[in-house]
Amino acid sequence: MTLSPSTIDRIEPASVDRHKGRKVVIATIPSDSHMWNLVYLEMLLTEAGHQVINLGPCTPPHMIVDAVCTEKADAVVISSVNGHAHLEAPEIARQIRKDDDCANITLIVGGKLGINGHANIQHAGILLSAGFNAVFEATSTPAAHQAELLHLLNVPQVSASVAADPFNQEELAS
Amino acid sequence: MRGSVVARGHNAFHARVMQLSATGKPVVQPRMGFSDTSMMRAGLEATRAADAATVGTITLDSFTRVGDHRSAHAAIESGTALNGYPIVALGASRTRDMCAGVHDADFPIQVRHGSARPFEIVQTLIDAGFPATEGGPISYCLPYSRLPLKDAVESWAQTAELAAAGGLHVETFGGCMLGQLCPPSLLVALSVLESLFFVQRGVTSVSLSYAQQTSLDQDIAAVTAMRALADLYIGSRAEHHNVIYTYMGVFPLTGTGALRLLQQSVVLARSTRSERLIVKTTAEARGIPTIAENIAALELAGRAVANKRDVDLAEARTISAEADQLIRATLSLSPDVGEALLQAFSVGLLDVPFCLHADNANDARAAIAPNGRLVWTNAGAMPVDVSERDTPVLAGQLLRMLNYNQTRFDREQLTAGADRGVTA
Repeated sequence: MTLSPSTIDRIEPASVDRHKGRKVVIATIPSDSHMWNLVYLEMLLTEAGHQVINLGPCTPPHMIVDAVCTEKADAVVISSVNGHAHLEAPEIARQIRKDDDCANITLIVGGKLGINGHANIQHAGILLSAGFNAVFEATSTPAAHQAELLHLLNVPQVSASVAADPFNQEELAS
Repeated sequence: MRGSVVARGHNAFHARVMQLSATGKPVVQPRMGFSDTSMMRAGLEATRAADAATVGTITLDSFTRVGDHRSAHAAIESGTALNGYPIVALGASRTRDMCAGVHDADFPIQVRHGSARPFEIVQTLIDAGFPATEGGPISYCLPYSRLPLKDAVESWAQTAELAAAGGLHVETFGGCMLGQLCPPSLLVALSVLESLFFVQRGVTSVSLSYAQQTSLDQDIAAVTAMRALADLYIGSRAEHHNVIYTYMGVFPLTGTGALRLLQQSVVLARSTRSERLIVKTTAEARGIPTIAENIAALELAGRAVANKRDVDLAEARTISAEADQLIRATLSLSPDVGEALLQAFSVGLLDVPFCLHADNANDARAAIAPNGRLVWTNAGAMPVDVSERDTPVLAGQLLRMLNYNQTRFDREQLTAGADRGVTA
């Protein structure tokens, strides 16, 4: 199923299978002050039937871990567009995977993960090794990534690791 | 540069901006910051040498902005490129050396940082001899930080006093906020209020910002209102000029679309006789611009065909009245402008639409009307006119509004001229 922005408009929350709705924490990395990506993602996920806890910009990792454990979240989506995610997001994954209470949740990171445009997908390896289940580098046609994101959130346990880059829409399973 | 104050008590940055813009064409300025010092210098040299009337910029990296100088240091040590210039980690002395011979009264440089707690940054930039910076307790807290507003006000109060003692020019970023979807009356009010905050603490050289939005006519009216209100409220207590920002939201993907949006920001600046214009490049949709892309944008802006457009005075008066309402209601809360701002936000008298900060009410909502103008759809507790029925915004609608200018300017080329020859 492909989701375009116009399709998203017509999703009625009532028609989504409620018991599949997950608790998702949305956050970013400590140095990233951008906000629209977080505002948009909250709306996208809420309309898809999920319960969203949006921690806002410049998120310290411990705040993410605390929220995940306190709220017993199913997934964390880290969105960052300032180019520093390849430097700061791994620590978030490490802290979560280290914590006994929430080590197995779904961890997703996406955005502009470095400062080199589409070449940023080169950072996927570091992020996947740190513990993320899926890595999305920004693309000018995000519908496929958004569909993949929503799919990942609906899967109870993500076993394969996925890295989706702007040119090659195929999964790079590792 | 010996200090930042030149003859007759004018700040060097303001003086040069006024001198260069006296013909009615704005001075153009880039956003530019590299952690590699030779690249930073090269960028400054190129900006100075550009075929346009320019002033310089050093944009700081985001680690420095949030006070994480340790991470900035670590990146410098490991040779990792940052998304800006780490002025505190590198220090004033090394920074002076970096721009020695490039930075002088004819080419003053503004340090741009976006920090909610800027004291150390401003101390360093004063020590490094720079005459200008920017920000504000609201405009660099609510959109960019999770620091409590109270702490940002306190830090900026100390910083403003430091700036006043150092003769620094301070630009308020209040006309930008989240960069999109904020009706102009609030942007104008915030710019005026923040500049008053600086002036109250002794700053005598300020500039007021306004970011290009989705309607040229609405923007021209808004900036006209802002100038009038600045004259009214600041008067002769501080020298002041206006700065326009080329659209800060989602940028057109096509080269022509990007140029047209940039051109329209030049029309906005010229039509309102705004003295300074901070440009965006055609690369914005993709990533951090190269020096060459930045210079191209500066020169294009300098050469742009920008016939002045008349202001709709009725619209300017409406925006002015609404902004003035917000300004007066805020100032009535306390004789201290910082305290007044704090109280205003805590009761939702000021409320930035969509802003997630804990100290922002986030009840107010705005939308783009069919004629392209930004309108309130929910006033929250603000005394503003709601012109459209409040319908909750869906993700798809938000995306369309955020992409409005990109869509508009990228598609323009597809239809421009297509109607020629349809009728005789």
